[in-house]
Amino acid sequence: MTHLFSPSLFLLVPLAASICSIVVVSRYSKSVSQLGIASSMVLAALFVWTLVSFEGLQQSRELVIALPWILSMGASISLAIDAFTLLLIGMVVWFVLAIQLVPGAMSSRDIILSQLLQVGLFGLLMSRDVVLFLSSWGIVSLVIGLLLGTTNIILQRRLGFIGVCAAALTMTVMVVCYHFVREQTGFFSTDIARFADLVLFPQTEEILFALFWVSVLASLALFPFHQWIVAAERELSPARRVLVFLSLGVMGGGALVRFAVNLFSVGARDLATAVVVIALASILYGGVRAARAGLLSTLFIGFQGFVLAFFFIVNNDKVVQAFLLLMSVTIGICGIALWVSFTRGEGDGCRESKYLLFVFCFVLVGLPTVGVIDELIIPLLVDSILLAVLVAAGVLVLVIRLFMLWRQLGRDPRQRAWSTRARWVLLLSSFFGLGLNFASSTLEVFLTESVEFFAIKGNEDGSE
Amino acid sequence: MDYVAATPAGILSIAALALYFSRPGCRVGFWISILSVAGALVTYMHLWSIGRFDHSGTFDGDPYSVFLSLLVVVLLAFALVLLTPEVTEKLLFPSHQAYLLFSTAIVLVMISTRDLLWVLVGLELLSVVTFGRNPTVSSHRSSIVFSALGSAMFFVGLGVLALVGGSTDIARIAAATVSPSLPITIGVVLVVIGVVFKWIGLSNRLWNIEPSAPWTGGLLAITLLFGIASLFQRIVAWLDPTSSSMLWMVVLLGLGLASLLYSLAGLSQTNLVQVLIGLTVTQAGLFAVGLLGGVPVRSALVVHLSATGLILMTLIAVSRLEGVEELSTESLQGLIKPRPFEALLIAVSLLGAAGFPLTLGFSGKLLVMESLARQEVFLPFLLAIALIVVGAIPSSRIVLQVLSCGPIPSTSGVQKDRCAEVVIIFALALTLWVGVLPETLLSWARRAAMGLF
Repeated sequence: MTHLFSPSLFLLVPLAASICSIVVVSRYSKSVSQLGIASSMVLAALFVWTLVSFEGLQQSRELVIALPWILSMGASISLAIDAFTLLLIGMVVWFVLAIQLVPGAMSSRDIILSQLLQVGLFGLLMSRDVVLFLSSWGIVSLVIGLLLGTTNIILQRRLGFIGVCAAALTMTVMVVCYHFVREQTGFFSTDIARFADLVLFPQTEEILFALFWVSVLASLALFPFHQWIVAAERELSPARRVLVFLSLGVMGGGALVRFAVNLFSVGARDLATAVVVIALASILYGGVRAARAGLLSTLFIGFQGFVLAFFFIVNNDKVVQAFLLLMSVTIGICGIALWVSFTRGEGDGCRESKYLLFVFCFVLVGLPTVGVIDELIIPLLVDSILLAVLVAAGVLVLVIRLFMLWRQLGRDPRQRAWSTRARWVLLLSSFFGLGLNFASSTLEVFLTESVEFFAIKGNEDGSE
Repeated sequence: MDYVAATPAGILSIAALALYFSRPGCRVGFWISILSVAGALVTYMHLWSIGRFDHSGTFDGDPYSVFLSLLVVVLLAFALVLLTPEVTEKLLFPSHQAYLLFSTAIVLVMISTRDLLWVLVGLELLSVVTFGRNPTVSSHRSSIVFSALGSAMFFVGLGVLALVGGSTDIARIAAATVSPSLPITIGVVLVVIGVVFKWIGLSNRLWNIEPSAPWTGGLLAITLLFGIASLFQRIVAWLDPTSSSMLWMVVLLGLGLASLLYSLAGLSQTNLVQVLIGLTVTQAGLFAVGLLGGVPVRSALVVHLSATGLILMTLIAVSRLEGVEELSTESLQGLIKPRPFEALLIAVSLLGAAGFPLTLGFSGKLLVMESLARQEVFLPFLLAIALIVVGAIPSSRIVLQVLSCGPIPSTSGVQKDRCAEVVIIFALALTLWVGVLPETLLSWARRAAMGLF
């Protein structure tokens, strides 16, 4: 039963909630907020249920459904939840719920967009079919466009242009792969596993990886396509800021990087140097701008670059840790975004919930990061002075920034007393923290078994 | 009883005559037009069900022409239901409706024939009825020049083909000639360029036929595109462009490139009509480039064509109902607030035009690109990508505008139109249904492409 329903429910619940919200928003706008919280609660319950179901799975730690869809094009409704996906789903559910629980943080429109964003992100994470993957990517891009571009026409146009170009590049890559699948297998298929099994010339794979990677950089606002996120941050409300960072982080690390490396492993390996150079540029840009302007987007750009550099430097054994680091940074940035926004009185939050959220986020970040530092960073530091400097610089920027924020806390006269919703936040945090502690004991097993999905082909046969 | 594929054209022509002589404001005229369209639909559905794959003569109703004709009639029905008597009284006199029906009948004849002479006759008749109306519009002269040039080139090309092949029927010329010789290629190229010039001239005129309500002309410009596309498909089925001659390839690439340049030049346009024209030209350019994919691309192009027709028609219909007087894309900003259904339909249609997955336009574009990749024609593949990108930029921009918050557009004075609401819900359901579950459309398109020749 879990096999059949769990992946699809993660899509259907927020989709149904968003449709209901769209229908009732004009007449019963207050119900939209309650509907949003209810939907997030259901998703959280579903997350816990799926987490428990994972324990019962003996053969493979993956929940899969595959239903026929467009047969003549070889497309199927193929969804799968593995350990990584579940971790990221939990993260998205938690953050959306946390923002929804802060009174007055989100308008009805924001709630509807957050529900659609959940549909897109979950689809992006769970898709094992290219058509579904592209659809989900499209939904996420559209929602980000709507979150960002509602106040600034110039930004809207720039974003539209970048989005269309990125989509065209991705579409081109997918069409070429689709064509090769038909050529090599004799029939149409949009199954991602078949795309990953393609045997291509190294040059072809490099070109495809490069095209896809440009599209990824543009979509994730990484250097040199970072201007729009910096410009947009100033105009975003706190809730929207969190949603945008969350979606970029999850979309980038959880879906696109994973997809790119899995599909074009040879290209990823051959062009690793170029990726690292771009990542270093992001780190430098983000570090310098974050120290001067203090914008979260610059911090985000810097740390995403930092993690991408790690990701392309590490060998195949450490890919899991690199992903954990990527996710940790996303959680950290989103947590900071929430904390900073509401601390500054931009939202209608309360002091205790802010502290709680802050502590929670860093506990969450800390869980995987400890393992990452132990298994990934320390061994790498021994080998590379450059990486040691990067780590030191990154940690320094983060610590300084957090110290500055800490000093700001408590100076805001608009901080309010303990509220009922804050209690809810506390309760849910406890549950979620317990769940994560439970997960952390099995996290290693889950993630180790999911390594196969990230396997780099070149390393498998030992030819590299 | 043996039906002829041109029968619906006859029905529509009779209805057009009846309408032309009816008095203004007469509601009977509206019902006559609806009945004639229903008759045409029933005839085509019958022809589709019997599937004449073995027929090859003019007006025999091969599945390809029946499929496209069905689409054209559906679009016409769509337009007529939208043009309810109340609207008709304000915007469209019976003579307008008669013009709409008669012009569609001509397009239907063009689609169902394989004889180039009939195509020429159809185009000239359309020119006469089009240029005979409101000769005060400024673009009239350039349109006539384009149209006359097109007629001349078509006529010369037809003459060359008739001389070399001994007939004006494509099937007979194909049977008479073993392999396409240079004179035949030149003849075909002249015919193709002539038709394109004719389309430019006529479309330019059609979009400007009623400055206050350009939608009737817009609809006709799109249906005319169907007629021309069917002719091109037939020619491609006869002369495989990938193997015949460089000249043929240059012509199709030139058409694609011209469409790309035209669309690029119009990227900053904010006039809704101009944006729609730009979208039509981009999709037509993609069709022309797609023709270079040869036989494998046939069904993909049919899907692309059907999707384009439905998307553009939906956009025209919704924009027509919008009540935004300025016809500017900026006036659509924040439309989601006052008119959520229309805004959603505009967004879904435009996303389809941009090739967004799960919409109508995605399958067609994906299949066209895959077919081009299969043929390993690098330049057309890149050109197709460029055309898709250029088509997607204005579409995505308008989608963001429509769905964003902003100044609420003025819709005062727009009366609730139940008929229009029903059509909009139907269009939205159709767009989403065919977009999410395109299997039916794909199988129809494959069947239609099988019976092309």
